[in-house]
Amino acid sequence: MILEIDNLVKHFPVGGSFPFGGSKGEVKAVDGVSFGIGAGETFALVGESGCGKTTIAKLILLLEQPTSGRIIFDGTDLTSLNRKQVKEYRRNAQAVFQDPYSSLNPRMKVRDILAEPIRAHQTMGRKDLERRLDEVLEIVGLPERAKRNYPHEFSGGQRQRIAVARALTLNPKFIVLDEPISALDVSIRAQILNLLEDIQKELGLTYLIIAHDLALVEHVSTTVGVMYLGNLVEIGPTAQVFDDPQHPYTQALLAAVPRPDPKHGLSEQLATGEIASALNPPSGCKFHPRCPHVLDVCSQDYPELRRIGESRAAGCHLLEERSA
Amino acid sequence: MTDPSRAAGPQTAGHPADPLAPSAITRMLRHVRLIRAGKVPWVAGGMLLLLVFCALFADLIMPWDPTALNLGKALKPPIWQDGSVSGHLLGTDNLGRDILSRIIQGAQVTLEVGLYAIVLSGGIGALMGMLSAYFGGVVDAVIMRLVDIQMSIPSIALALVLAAALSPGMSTVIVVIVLSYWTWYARIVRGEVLSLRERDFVKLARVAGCSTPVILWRHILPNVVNTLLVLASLQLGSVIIFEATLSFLGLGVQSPQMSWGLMLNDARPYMTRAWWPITLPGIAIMIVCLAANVFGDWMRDTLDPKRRQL
Amino acid sequence: MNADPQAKAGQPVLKVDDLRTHIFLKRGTVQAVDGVSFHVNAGETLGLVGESGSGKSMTSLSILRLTPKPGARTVSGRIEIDGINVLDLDEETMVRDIRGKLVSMISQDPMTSLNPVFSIGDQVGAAFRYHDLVQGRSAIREAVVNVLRRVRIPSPERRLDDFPHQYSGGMRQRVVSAMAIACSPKLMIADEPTSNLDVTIQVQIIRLLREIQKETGVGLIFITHDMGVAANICDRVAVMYAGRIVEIGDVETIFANPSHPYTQGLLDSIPHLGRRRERLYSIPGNPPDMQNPPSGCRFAARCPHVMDKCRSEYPPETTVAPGHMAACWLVGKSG
Repeated sequence: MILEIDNLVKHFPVGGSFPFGGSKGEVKAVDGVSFGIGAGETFALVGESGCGKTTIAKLILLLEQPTSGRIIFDGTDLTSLNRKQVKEYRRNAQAVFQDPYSSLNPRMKVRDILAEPIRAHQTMGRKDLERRLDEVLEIVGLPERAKRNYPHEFSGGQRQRIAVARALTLNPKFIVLDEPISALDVSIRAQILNLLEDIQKELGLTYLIIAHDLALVEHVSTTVGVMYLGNLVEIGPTAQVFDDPQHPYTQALLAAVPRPDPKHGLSEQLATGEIASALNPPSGCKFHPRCPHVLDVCSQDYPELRRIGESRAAGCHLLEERSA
Repeated sequence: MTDPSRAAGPQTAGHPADPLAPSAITRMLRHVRLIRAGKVPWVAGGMLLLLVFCALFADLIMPWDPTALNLGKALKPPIWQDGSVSGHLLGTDNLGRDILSRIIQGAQVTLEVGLYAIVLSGGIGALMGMLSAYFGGVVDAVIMRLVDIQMSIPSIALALVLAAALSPGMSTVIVVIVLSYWTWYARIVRGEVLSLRERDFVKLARVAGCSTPVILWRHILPNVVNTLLVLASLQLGSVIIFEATLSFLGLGVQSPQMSWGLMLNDARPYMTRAWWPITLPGIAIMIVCLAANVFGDWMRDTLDPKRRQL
Repeated sequence: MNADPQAKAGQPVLKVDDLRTHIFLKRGTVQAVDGVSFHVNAGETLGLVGESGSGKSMTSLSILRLTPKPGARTVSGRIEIDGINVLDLDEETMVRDIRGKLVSMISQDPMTSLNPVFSIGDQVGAAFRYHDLVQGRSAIREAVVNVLRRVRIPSPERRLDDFPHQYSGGMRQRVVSAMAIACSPKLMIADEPTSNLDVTIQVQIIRLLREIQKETGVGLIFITHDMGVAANICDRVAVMYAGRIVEIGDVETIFANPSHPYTQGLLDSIPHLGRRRERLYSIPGNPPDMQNPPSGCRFAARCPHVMDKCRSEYPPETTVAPGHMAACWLVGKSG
């Protein structure tokens, strides 16, 4: 395991600022999540807006402090690092974000954007630096002269290539991809997706991909974790989870995906209503108000993740019923 | 309705066939065309340049010594009115001093006060706003409550207290203006930084391992510079009026130093007998303020890439 | 101009002929919509599919004569809604008789379509009041409850006086749909109405729109960039690229038998659920600069089958089969 998440919790206080009274409650964005990512794997976190997948990405990138729990990268716990160790970690863990218009500073030339991670970590001779920049530009399929331009001179797809190049400059082991293609034009998406796959193969990278598009997740990931309102409800190898989803939420999610095939018929509606507020989540299983198979126990007890077979797990009382 | 707005946006307005081709010249041309579109900002800019020129070369261009008294020539009207004396283009004041020369020298003080006040209040305000937004939490709360307190103190009252404590003068004027105006910058810069801080490139700079000062300097500051420039040019107008007000009330610049506000004060007792000693400096104040405001508006429009499109 | 209550199914409610809407910028003219022709029948859903900048939203805004000002202007063409050429009408007539009454719109973001300071009942009721369809407070209230019930808002009598922020995202989109059908329009334009919604909510809205359409026989233009959504809701699909329709046909044909290389590339380049781990086809290059569009086929630079002719001459709209048209030189050749 290159990365292990152990009972990770992140609560955001909601309320006025000093001195206008204290917190009025907490948004339980991530509420006790554990999983591990093996080296070379592509681990996908899926779920609808507000499920906490982006917060997990931020916690892993140390952009937020966890409320409790541990994040272990390569054997070291990230939650108790000093400044120097944090820097060392950053060398190995980089990120590509959703919006290529927001992820590149409009006032910096591509050369400075790409050189920034290197400059933050080491002093490198001008020649070596230029050589490294040319290398990463070549990997992402942009010409060397791109260095001289500003981000606004590029299209969305090219900008995302620059963003990928920047993530590669430090030669990281692990990259967080937060919705890496969903802000791009449809005709550009496959380019970037294929690029990311090629890079992974070539450089032996480990990916954590955050996405809401299930077809994309099925296409790229080896392992998938399905999240709902701050909890992992199902986890396992992608092929198994997509072929035979165990949790009713995973089933509803998969059924709802519109297929680009008119013969397939209308997507099915297996979940009623809408996702509840993370400020005041339902008791017991958080999915129970929307679940078509709800039992009495669902509104009282939180269903812990239960192992299914070798490598899968799901948190649902139905599974207990079945095995009992 | 993403389509039309995005199509009009600077980045997606048709992806350039070869975006890597140098486009510096076309970008320069765009500026030139924009300039041709409206002449007004040029007039305003010219006025401001004239102010700077007067201030810098006051000693060379003043036709008379602005402090030289000549009671024999007191309250002579401007050249186009009957009873004028030759050589005094805009007439003389109650002590026979040349009004044109005094306006030219007054430009010096006006500009000096304006410059110091803007740089100091802008610098302090921007720094406070940046720190407040970037660190948030207690830092933010303390700075913002300080801003609230500062904004609830009337500037004139503050000037009275400070003038009593420090003795009136140019430096007091500057201190009062800085104290009254830094909050303005702090609030606006804070708002800008709050949204900048959430931009992905700032988060990615942290992921890259950049330290906080580097992020503030390289990623935050360059992106608020436009806002600061616009605020500064819009502030110039109100600083000039504020300085004139304080000097007029006797709380600001003191004789023998010169300022347009002080000229108004000096001329007030003779207002009914001679219109020019009070009107002409007033017109100077008005023109410069108007120029500063027009110029500021033009800068805001120019520096906003969305408005530049159409 | 009183709309007769039930248009005959199959009759065109909208005919667009050679529509050109350009955006005039300081630095040049963007030919956002450049010669687009199509029609929508009563009771039918036409999908306008394309990526951002392809002109699909600008087409719909042109139909409503709501192109952004200043800058965008419809320079030529003909738009006939229920027999009326709206390009001939003045703004006052558009407001009084066309928008909201004959044609309505559902936009992408239900939060900005609703005014946060008015109650849901007020806002939906406004449609009735503006067009003088219902008079009197209690009558309007009743009409609002009815229309909210039609979009399946549970217990509308109680939720009438709530404000938009008290509604969830999916419920707000239902309210926007209610406003759109309030005056029984002949044509509804839905601009990416589900792309801000989660999939489990999206499926609810798609089903709702289908049901509304079946009940009212309204013609629907559904704008989307998501091929999956298009396959789920459309009867016919028009694929737009760089300001033009490159292919139009019924939904089965477009998905099973696409004739234009752009449509083919698009369908091959999206991941399909259940078809995992095969490498996706990726369309090379970028969409063209719409200020200086290439003289020939606008897709030529990215097309795998490009010929010399493609670069010099724009391919005419060629009929592949009845009701299926593609603008590609290959079609004429092989067919």
